[in-house]
Amino acid sequence: MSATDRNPLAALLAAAAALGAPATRAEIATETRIDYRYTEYDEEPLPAARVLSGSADRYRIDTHQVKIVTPLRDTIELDVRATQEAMSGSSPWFVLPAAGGELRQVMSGATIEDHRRELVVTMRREDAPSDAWSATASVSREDDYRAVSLGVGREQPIDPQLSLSYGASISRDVIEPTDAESMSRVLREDKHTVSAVTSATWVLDRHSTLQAGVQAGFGRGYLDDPYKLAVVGASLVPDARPDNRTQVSYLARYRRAFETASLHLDYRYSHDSWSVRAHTLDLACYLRFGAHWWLVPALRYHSQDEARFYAPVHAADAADAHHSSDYRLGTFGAWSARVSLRRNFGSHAFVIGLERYDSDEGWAVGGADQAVPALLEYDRIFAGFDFAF
Amino acid sequence: MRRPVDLAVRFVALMLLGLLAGCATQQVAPWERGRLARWDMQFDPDALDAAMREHTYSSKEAVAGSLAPAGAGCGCN
Repeated sequence: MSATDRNPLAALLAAAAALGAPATRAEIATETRIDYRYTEYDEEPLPAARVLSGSADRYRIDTHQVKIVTPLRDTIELDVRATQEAMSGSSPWFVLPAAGGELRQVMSGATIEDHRRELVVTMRREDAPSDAWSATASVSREDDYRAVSLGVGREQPIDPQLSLSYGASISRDVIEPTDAESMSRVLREDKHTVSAVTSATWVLDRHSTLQAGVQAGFGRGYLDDPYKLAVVGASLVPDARPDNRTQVSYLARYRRAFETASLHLDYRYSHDSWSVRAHTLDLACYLRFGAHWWLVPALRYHSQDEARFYAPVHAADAADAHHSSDYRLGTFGAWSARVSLRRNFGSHAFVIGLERYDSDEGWAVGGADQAVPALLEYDRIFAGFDFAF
Repeated sequence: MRRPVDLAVRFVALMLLGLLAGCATQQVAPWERGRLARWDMQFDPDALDAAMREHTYSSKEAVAGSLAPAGAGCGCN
């Protein structure tokens, strides 16, 4: 919780800390902070009537996250974020037409066991209020996957009401699928991604801020999913996607403060060279109760159109030989509701929360023409603490 | 993929939105920014939960994108 919530003197001190700055970006840390979260992510089994073979049980992921932010000098801070995930469960494999024209999902037969470890290190230097440079390096490693990325960012105040941010990053990913030879999968492939982002942040008045920006990403290389197959005509063939993808997202984020609450409204429109278009809207309310408690209910809606080469089953191959039955590339809409509860103890805090996510073809804007048999439902619960010293 | 002219139209629309926002802003003195400096007025008050949600959504939906440069990917399936 901000000190401004506790008493008028604290509010005055917080305002003094914002002197000369647009007050929309955190300043260099003056103390070391350690945040920790534990998350359980659990996907609902598919309805038995929709599964032809394999286990209906889907992914469960246990995640530990630690974030440490510490000042190195008056103008430089170090931000380290580490994540460890343990994943298990079955994954949608391919779709088969059943008697009566129904479509049935085939799941991966064996339970997948995998671990992911990620480390993200950011160094941020602020020469003047809201005038900062940052550099980020990250590595992510799974049993069958490795990724590294480098990025730089810049924040610049334009005037007391407006600041600009821009940045770029590059990444390289390598996949070495498990059971590659026995399952006729690729042995080793890689992809490269370049991403650029720019945004502007306005102080609209004493109570509200607006951020708007664009992110563009270009990926090249192996973009298929080696663990998925597709029915094309009478054949069962590996998932095959274009070897490049350009994706552009436009985002707007609005924040409005009230006496003991605030409103957060985020909207994103994305489209890409695979003909996917998506709208995502996220609404959250931060409600303060008493001096120390915060309740944060939130609602998210996502709608996407299918990739041009998606079909649950393909009658014949396309001219470009691209085909996929991956449910994530289908047309669907998704609702997600979440709530978290936060208790502050001075500059420390304890937080718990949960989320419920559900998706359906019929919830997409404009509806869907094709079935997406493996659509997802999941629950997520998390707990953690923020500690400063 | 949209034609370049469509991208340009969207970019111009975004800039117009920005200009409108700029016109709509009121001069706010530093001592009037107490509420804007509150914890709950940050764009991502809970950075770890925001990172977790972004990672989950981007691995279960067809698109990803935030106002931070993209990081390393994952083999999520």
